[in-house]
Amino acid sequence: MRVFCLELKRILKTRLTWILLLASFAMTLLMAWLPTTFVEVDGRKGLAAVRRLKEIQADTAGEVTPEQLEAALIAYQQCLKEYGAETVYDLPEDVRTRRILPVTGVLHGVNEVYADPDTGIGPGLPNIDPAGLDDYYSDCRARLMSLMRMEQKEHPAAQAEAMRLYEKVETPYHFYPGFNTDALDYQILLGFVLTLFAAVIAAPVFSSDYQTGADDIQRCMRHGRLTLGAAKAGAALLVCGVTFSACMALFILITDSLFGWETAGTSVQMLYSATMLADMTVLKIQWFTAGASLLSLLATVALIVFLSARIRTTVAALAAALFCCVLPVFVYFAAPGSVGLWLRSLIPSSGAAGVQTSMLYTMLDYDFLNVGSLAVWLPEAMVIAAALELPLFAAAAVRSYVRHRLK
Amino acid sequence: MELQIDHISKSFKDKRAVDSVSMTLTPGVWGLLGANGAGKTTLMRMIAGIMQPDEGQIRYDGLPIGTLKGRYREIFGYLPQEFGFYPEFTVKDYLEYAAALKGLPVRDTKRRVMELLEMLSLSDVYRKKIVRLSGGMKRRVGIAQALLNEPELLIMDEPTSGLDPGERVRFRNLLSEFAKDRIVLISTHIVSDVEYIATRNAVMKDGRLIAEGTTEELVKLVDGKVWQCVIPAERLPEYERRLRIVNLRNEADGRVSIRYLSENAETAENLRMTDADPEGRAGSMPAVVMPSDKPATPRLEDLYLWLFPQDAAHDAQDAAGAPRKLGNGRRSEAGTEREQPQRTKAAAPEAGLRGEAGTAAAVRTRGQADSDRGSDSAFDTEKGGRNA
Repeated sequence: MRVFCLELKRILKTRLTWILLLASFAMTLLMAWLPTTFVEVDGRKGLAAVRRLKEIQADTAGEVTPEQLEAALIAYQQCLKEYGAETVYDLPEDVRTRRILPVTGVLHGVNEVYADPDTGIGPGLPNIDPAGLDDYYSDCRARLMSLMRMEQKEHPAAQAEAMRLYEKVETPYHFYPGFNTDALDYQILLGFVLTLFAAVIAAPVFSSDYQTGADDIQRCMRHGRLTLGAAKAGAALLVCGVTFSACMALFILITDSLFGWETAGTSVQMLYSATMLADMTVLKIQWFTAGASLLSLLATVALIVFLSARIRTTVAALAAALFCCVLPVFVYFAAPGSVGLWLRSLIPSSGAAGVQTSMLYTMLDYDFLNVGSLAVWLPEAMVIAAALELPLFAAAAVRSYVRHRLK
Repeated sequence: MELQIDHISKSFKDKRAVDSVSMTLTPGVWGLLGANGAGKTTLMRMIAGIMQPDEGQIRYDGLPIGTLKGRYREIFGYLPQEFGFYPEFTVKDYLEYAAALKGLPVRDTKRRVMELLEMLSLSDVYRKKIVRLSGGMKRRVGIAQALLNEPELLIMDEPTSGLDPGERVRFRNLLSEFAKDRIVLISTHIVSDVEYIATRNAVMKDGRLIAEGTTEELVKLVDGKVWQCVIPAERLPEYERRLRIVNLRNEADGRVSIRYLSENAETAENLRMTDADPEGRAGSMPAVVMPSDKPATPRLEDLYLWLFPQDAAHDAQDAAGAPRKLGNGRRSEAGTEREQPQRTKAAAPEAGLRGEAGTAAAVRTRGQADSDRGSDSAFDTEKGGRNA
């Protein structure tokens, strides 16, 4: 424990660590605030726009019942009819704000749910029969089924697994106006930046000692092998993990305070796909994304520390570390299909790196790992893999350090 | 208490860095001498357990060090050639960190750190960052960490490099005192560092241990091969071409006193100096009869230069730019540093060593059959990488 504390103290005394820690907190504050600046409503911007949006959509806040949906759709179609408009863009701006904007939030997803089962193309809100919304949540299930038949045509197990997951989703959905999904995008962007910072902190853990020759001395000391190896790996994990957790917590606190804590009760299906498989509200997905990204980050740091124990120069270790961080992005574009999915599930940084490969965007998707009659939803596979890889890579790092010898 | 090195070998690609070295270290200061690339650092790294020998075994009190693991490291102190440290550490931080790694109890750490700071004249800088210290001070911090746990077995690779003469003397005294009932092995180029304090010396060349014994025993190997005489100053360049001059001193009357290594008193009897060019063609300048040569009392440094003429030549080349290197006995006694000659072709040192090995019964010489191998490649190897 004494060696661990001294190692922790050593890392925290490093100027680079301090710079990165300060940069992390500065980025957190900036990225938590930025999404509020993107909101524009009724000629207002920023937090004023958020408040105005809440006022306009106040009547739709709460449970999203089929009756409410029906009434909203009727109001929507009535407005278009009155003005002889085919789309909302044909309406005068003030009419749009007064009569369409109040119902657009709650009508999110309706077009998607009634999409053509064969083509997946939505009919458009003016063409949907409001009376047909009576059984909206059954229609959601039916839509998911048809979607899964298209997406996982050859994998009935995946189709069944998707339906099983969706059965757990709480209905009716909840909607509280004012939240902006840009905040979630910025959360994963922040996670990626913090992962890069963690890589810079973790990369030199062992390799710099090899490079400077400090390792030659320490290795000859009583606790200079297993104890020091474990202390170094543990301290790197702790510093990176605590920083990430603190920044994520701060980000969520600031974001939800700015947009309003009640907005965090909105079901994710009211912001993204109406058939999204995760049974979560905004607040839950914020914390889940943070937690899963933390796990992914720790597994990534463990991998980087392992590489650091194998590589003899700091520059090479840093290059390898940064490559690990961006690898999921390459895989996402370069290896489509099941191979890409397997790689993404196995690469520890998948949950924390990039945007499209992030945990949040993976949860928005319907990707499954199929092994015979078994199907595992990709976000679950990524979390399980990271949980296994974290101790595995950490142990491998310590072992590599202990067994390291000059050649 | 003894450390047995039993037929240790280590190769790097096609270079055999350490070639079947065997010796038994007993309490006292051991000097490990050898030119660059002789294999000293590699041998020390294997003793430290940070490099695995290809062949052979190292045993401490009869037990292989590999099986002793933590117990071996507990009694071990090591200062490598390159002292690596964390740039963010102050002297105090570093020594406390090292003390924790060495398993010193917290209550003893402060006392021991203060003792060493005092002993190594570091008290004034203990709150300074190591990176801001002078080379000599950094080296002393390295020495301090090696001594923290009062090791039974202390290995130091070039511990005096970067120390000024006063610091070196203090270090030698410190080490002499410390080595009581402990095994201390130090490698150095600065022969005077071990000449007076080493209980025994080991000499390595091309990976082999070629001689081992006390300083007195070893210098007997060059008994009768060290000469001195006084020559006219204007003739010096000619003598430098022909003789292996290890020391020269300007005299007041325009003459130069030289000390050189040779099988015989070459200047007086065999070497009639002419203006002959390097190819030996006779010139027009009349021959000069040399003054009588006198045999000089040999020193360990003479043995070193006898065994490592190549090293002497390298040092001579370095001398113009790095005067400190002239500490290898070729500093003018009058205080004037002069450019030193290239290696003479006249000497065949190891032939002499072989011939006289038997004269000093207690001295062991080894591997001499191979000792005529050129040492240039060895020199390059060590210069080429820290792992060599």
